[in-house]
Amino acid sequence: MNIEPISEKSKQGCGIVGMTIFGSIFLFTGLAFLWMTALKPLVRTNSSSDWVEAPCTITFSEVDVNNDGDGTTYRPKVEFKYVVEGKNHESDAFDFTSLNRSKKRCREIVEANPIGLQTSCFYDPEKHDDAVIERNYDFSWFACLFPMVFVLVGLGIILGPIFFKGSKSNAISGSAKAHLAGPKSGLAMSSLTADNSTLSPPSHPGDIEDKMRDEPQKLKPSQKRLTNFLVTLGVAIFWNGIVSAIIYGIATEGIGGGLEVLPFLFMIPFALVGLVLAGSVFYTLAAVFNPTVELALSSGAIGRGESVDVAWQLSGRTSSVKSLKVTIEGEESATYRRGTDSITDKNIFCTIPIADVSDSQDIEFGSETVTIPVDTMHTFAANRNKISWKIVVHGVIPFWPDIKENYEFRVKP
Amino acid sequence: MITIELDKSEAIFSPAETISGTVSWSEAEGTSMEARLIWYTVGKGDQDFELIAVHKVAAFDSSGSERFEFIAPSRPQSFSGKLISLQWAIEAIIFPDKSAQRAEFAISKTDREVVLGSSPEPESAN
Repeated sequence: MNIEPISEKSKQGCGIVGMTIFGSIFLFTGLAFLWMTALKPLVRTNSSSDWVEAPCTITFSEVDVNNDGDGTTYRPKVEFKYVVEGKNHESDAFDFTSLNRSKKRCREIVEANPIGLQTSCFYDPEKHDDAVIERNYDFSWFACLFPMVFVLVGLGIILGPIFFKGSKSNAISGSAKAHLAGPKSGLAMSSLTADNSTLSPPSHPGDIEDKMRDEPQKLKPSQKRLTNFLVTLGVAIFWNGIVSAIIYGIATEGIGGGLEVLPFLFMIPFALVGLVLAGSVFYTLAAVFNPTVELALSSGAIGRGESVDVAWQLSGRTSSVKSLKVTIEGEESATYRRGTDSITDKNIFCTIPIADVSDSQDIEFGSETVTIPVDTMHTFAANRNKISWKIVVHGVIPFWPDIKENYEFRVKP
Repeated sequence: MITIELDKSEAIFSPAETISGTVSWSEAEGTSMEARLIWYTVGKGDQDFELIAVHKVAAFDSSGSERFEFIAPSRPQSFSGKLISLQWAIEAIIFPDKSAQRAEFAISKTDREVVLGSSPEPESAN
């Protein structure tokens, strides 16, 4: 029975294409809304500067109430007639905005323009049927922010995988696609029909990286505290900026009418997420001022069954650290796609305790020798699956964010 | 029909060891054939694989057999984890219709496949 060959499978390129298509739907929907609700009225307002003013009479003026499944919406319906070059014309465009407005704003417009009122309108000298009473742009936060959320979400979906892929540049093992894109000489080294005299094991980028790291090393934490703080700050400002603008919009304009309770209730979960993010900003800021941990290894690439010397040194407010735990962790991680989401599951398969100290001198400086098990897996990183090794430093600081730093190192085959 | 037979009865190889065997086929329709040394992942994560080496059958006919020989690379070695496993295989493919057969084996420095989570935790030397 024949099987489907794995080496002929196409790689996950379609994932990025799929994400781009999905993100484009958000992006173009947002841009279309932005054009219709904000940009088009603005463009028309600017291009109407040469429109001609003419006397007109209001013939109909009412607040148009529309009740449908999505709630009640309000729109000012003002009709008027005017004369251009002896010919009668009618228009029902109060201004260039086609958006629904708050009940209050609609009432103001209708009350200011009662039936029979003699006022003035502006008509297009090129197209006399095109006329409005109000040429000024009636700016609405909703008109800009609501479509912008779609635009930003779309951009995030499209650009996210590109940046994510870029961060995988240190992958040890590539895919068939990546390999075949390179020189072919490295692939067909064992072709007996071509040359059965050269059978050398294939060299691997991981071997070169192991060689480079196989010397005494000072390790840097995998994540920088300041970067953590700045990223959290950025996300919090973005999220809370949008949420507060929408809440402000509801409070001042309403979604379709007056001050309604339902939109506020709808916004509560979003506001709570915003509060958590604001709290995270303070938490990550406090962590910036934690004592710094310097970690040194006798080798940055350790063979299985080999021993390594691990030394740590804390500087800064070291007296605030009540206990310090240093461990080695081996972790397998698997990334898979569920719908449009990319999910990574992790499992720690090996934990090796190095130190668990509470004496202030031992916390400040210490060193231990530790052995990597023989029967374990070496460092491995493909596009979607990974085996990684790290030293985890956990310092407990009462009433303050703990020290939690990860330092990656390599385990050789 | 394609069959792959490895010379070694135990399906486990050490790095740098020769992986040799015979690929046989009969009543095959196609124009060419390849025996490939590959690894691939199985498990929760989306599948990764890598094509390491290719042995092209010189004179392909509807029936026949051919010896192949590869050198086992030093990495990645086979393992079986809670989330993912890594498997090595010889994959024989007839082109252009891509009918194929696979013979699986492990590459390991020790004489058995690494099972993650079973590693002993050594005491730290004080």
